[in-house]
Amino acid sequence: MASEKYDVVIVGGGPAGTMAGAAAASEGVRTLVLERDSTFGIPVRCGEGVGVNQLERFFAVDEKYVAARIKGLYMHSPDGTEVPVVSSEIGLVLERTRFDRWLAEFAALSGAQLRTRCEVDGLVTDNGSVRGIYFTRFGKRHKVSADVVIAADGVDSRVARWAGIPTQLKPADFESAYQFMLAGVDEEPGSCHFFFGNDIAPGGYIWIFPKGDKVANVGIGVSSKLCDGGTAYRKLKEFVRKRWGEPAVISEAAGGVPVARPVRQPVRDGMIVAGDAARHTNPLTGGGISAALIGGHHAGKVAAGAVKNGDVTSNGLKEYMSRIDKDIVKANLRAYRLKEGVYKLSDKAFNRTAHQIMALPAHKHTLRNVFLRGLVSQPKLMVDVIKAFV
Amino acid sequence: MRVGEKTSRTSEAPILVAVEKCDLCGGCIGICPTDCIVLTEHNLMIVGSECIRCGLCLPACPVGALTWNDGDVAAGQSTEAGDNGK
Repeated sequence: MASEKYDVVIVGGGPAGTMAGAAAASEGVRTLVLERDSTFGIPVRCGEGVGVNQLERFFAVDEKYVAARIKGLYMHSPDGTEVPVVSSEIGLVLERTRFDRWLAEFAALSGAQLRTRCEVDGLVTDNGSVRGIYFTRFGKRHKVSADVVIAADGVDSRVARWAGIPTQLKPADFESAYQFMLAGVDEEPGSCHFFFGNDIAPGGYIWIFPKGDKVANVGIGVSSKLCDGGTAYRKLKEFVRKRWGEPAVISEAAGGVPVARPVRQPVRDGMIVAGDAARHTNPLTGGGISAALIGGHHAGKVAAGAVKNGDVTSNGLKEYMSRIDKDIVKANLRAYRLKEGVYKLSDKAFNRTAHQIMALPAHKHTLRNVFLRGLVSQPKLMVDVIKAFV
Repeated sequence: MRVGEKTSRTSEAPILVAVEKCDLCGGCIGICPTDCIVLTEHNLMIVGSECIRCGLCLPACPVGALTWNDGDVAAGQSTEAGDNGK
């Protein structure tokens, strides 16, 4: 078996993995990123919306991966009331195929080694400590020894579980999602729409993210707890037919979105878990790109620091916990409580909230006001609303 | 299991995968508590011996490609699989 040695090896070439690769390599440690598919960024399993602030924390936005700038957000209640929502945050609709490739280049330019078509299928362990991984490429098995393994292998993460980190999801903490990229649909570029209702998307929502040139991402997330298999596809298909008839489909994707509490202990001797694998997706919105970038960055920096300090035990890596606690965990626990609150709302409550908001002057149509009114029957959540939507 | 088969199963898998519907999205893998669903390069495989028949993967599938292996129930090999189904 071919055998190699790196300081840090990262499993997964999505935003968390490549960001971790860039962060670790820029600290001067030998870093390898392994991707299962043949190209970084493909297949796309994402609505592609993200906030500009989250990207600019790490790099200037490059127009080459921007499909559209978000100009307006519209929430639709079950009875069809459209509520324009004002938001101070500037959002983007990404071209994930280009964005992920750009991130891969960013990691490479930072000094990381990248490899595609590597299916990681085992851990190298020593007395319970993680000491590397095995991967298979073209039927041949390889071994990579590493001081730290970063598990950034997404929603279907297995690497963390191999190390004994429980990442199992309850059905209530798992959204089943389906998305079409449609062409020839007349939607205002940059106007994003969200549709709510227990018949439209039980325990979730339908989104429209127009990408310009009459192309739009139209997707659905539904709760696995409330739905049978196939619900996501059926409900979305129905929505598309009602709104546009039979538009051309450029691509379609299915996937799972964790809407869970973050993994409690994303650190083991010799291992850090980041991104969707650590369940860092925002449980309220299902958005995962920004948390993947932040978590990946911290994982890479902390791993590199631990290698240099010569202590890659969970104790040596625990700085990751305090870093993400501030940046991801607290906000996600809050979002989780809000998600639970929103889950309980009836269509009637959604409609009432929409009508109440529409009675306010336009500048008061903030997400904060939407949630304050929508969750008014759950006073315990008011503090969370106020903290979540500043 | 081979590509192109209508459904796939290992000998005792309580869950069937409709290969023509399966998108290989991995959603079921993310929710499986026993890690018994494995994504290989071209298909999804359920390792029957590790499956605890919890049924979590069924609603997790966005396209409805997973079903209980009712064949086993009909053959009298397993009843709880059918009872747990929706």
